[in-house]
Amino acid sequence: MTAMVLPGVRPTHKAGRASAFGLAGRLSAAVVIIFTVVALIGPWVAPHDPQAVDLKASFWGPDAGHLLGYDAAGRDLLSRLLAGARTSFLGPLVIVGFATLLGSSIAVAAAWYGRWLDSAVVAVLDVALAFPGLLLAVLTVAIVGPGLPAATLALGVAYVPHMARLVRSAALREVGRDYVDALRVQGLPAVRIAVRHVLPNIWPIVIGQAALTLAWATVDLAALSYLGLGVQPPQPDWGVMVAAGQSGVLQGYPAESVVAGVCLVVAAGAFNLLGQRLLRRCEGARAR
Amino acid sequence: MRTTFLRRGRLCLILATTIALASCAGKSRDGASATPGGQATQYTQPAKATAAIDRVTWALRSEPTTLDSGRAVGGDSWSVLANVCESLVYQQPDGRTVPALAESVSRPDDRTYVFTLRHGVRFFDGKLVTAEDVVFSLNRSRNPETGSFFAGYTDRVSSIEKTGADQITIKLSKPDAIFYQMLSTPLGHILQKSYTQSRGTAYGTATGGVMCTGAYRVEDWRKGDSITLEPNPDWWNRANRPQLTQQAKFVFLSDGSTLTSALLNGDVDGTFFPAATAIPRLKQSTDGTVYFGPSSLLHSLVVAHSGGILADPKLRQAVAEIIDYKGIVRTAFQSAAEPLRAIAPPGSWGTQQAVYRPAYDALRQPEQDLDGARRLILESGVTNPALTLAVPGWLPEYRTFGETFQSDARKAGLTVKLQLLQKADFLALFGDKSARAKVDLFYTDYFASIPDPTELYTQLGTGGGSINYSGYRNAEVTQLLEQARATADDAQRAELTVKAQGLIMKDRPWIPFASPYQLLYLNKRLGGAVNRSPAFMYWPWLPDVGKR
Repeated sequence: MTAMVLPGVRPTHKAGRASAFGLAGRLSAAVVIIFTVVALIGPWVAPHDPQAVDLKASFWGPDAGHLLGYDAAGRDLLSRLLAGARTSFLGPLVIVGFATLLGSSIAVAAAWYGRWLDSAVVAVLDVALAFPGLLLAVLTVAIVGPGLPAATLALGVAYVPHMARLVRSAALREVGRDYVDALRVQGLPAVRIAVRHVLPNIWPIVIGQAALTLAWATVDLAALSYLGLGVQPPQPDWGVMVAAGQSGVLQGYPAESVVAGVCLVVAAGAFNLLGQRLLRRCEGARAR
Repeated sequence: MRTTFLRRGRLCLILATTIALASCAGKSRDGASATPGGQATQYTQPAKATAAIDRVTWALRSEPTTLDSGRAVGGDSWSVLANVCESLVYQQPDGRTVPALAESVSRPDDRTYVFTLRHGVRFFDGKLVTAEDVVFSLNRSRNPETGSFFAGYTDRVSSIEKTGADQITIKLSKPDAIFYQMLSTPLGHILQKSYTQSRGTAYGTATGGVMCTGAYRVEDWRKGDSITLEPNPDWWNRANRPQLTQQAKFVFLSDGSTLTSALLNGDVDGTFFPAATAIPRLKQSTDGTVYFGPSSLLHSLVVAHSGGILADPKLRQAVAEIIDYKGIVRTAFQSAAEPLRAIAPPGSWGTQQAVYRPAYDALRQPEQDLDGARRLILESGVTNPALTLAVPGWLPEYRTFGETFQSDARKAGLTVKLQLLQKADFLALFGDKSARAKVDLFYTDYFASIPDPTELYTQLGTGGGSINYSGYRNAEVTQLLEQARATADDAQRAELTVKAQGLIMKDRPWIPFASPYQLLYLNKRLGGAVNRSPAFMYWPWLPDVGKR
């Protein structure tokens, strides 16, 4: 038996795909791809040791070997930016991956079994959503102790309700469709129907929401690192760099904060635009 | 629609590129002349105030946890308390100890102090200060249950008794040359017995209030926002020192950027704690001035315990040689500090410069020597040496030190795990042995309380010393310091302390690296603020602040 999917979810030709995405969407996708590559290879292609201090070079401007200049401790800014992409960009991917996996599983289970389980999940989600995610993450890190693993886990947990609520709505619609009843009648196990038939049909919504969540996660993880609760200095990270650059701002050398801040804004913006386009495309497909 | 998007996009791109390019303009490479913080700084003091001022807003870097003299700790709390509570004696800005609430002091022998109370001194509620209040306050300070930071200085006190209507006698078990001077710190603050007892543990808090005799009383304390002081109309010394500031509002600005902005835009009139990294910006201000004063402050690494790899003196010496003294002074302190050779900074030498200066100059130059450090590490025989250094994570200057030390240590073959601790975790290092057991080294800054290094070295170099965190023991040092503490003659005491200093600097229970100047930022309409440490913590400085 082949997987049954909604007929409208897949656009039938490339032109339709491109117009749904638009220029901004394609640019965003390109930015995401470039940043992902940088995050993967950044630490290896960084021209200098991102943690090597040389106080003599404190706040020196750019030169041929140091295209963005130096930070307060005389470290190469470009190298720190490249190496910092790993935690700043891949960290949110882990957060959203965790939230998506857990949130989707809870949502599909609630939609599938319904009744008391669905009511319980909805109640828990409502309570969880009333609590600001970033505050939850700050509290968790304050208890567990600062560091990237704790911050990533805390934010991952904080985003589960957002993901679960959206996926549950889509899953509820899907579970009520005729093809699901048909598969049930054929005696297929519930898990197989959910994983191989329901999930693929709601996947575009999940992906769109995940991309949007990536934008929030990028900013929130940077905020935790900025507050000293996420990535710990001297490990390079964009949030850490924005915080560390504050002393430079006071002294009239804002390069560190500015370049790291620009990267964060571009990354969050790209995720946001991409997520919006994906969701719009999905809604358009449904409307058809 | 798309055209508009593209136009806006282009505009944003041009704007962002311009900002990014402008921001990348760094410091020029022509050396120190381009350093905004400036060169070796001359001491500067604000002009005297000539008229009263209605209101002054003063910034602290953190909110005092209490204004109970027995429990308050740190420059922020003490700089407020200095204007609210008084001792039997003052430490003047020039370092001399003079009578305050005591009218006279006599020493019938080298183990006895007899204080005669000044007549007519009243608490904020109008009640007269009595000998019972004094005896209560001093005994409370030395009671370990109170938890006074200064309690360790009373280990030689055998009794404090009322010996007349206005007379108090303090007897010592052994002669102690520093105890009398230490009474000028919050150790000697006189509180009203009945009020303090009635408030219990709430004394000194925002709700419990404070009952002292100082130039100012606490009018309002809004938790998390401000403490407001107003002149005490019954202050005994107001004829000599009129309270020029009619109202002082202390606000709490822990973030250096926020504080700098508040100073620059005039929301805050002054502070003793501007961020060192903000000095270049503050120097450019047209509304205020940064003053650099003599200081008893030192910055040091502290060996956390007697175990670990730092039990080896060669590795302690290696740590001292890894530190980039000049680089740290130039970057973290913006050149507003001196590299430090000994634990007692020059600002703590008092009247005995002639003894301390040559001894200080004979100590190892504070210069980085990575080759020397590498050699010492090899000689120690420790394979893959590694240690944990804890620094306050919320202070950028301290973080810069930690990151620099970690990077330089790696070059010398020493692996340093850097722990950037949050405030509560960091403060635990000073009182909790088990917290210290988790690290090998930690960063501290410390004000010498009196202009006599015997005080500092006694607390650091003897068994029960309050800042002997690693349980440092050296019989010869202990003997010298005990002898110094019992020596009344200032020059002889200094000679003994200098000998102990030489031994301590070889053993290195602390590894000092910088003594920052005392900083003061003051709005140009104001004058009169004291600009030296520890005076701003132990001397009522607010009465002198007024219009220039």
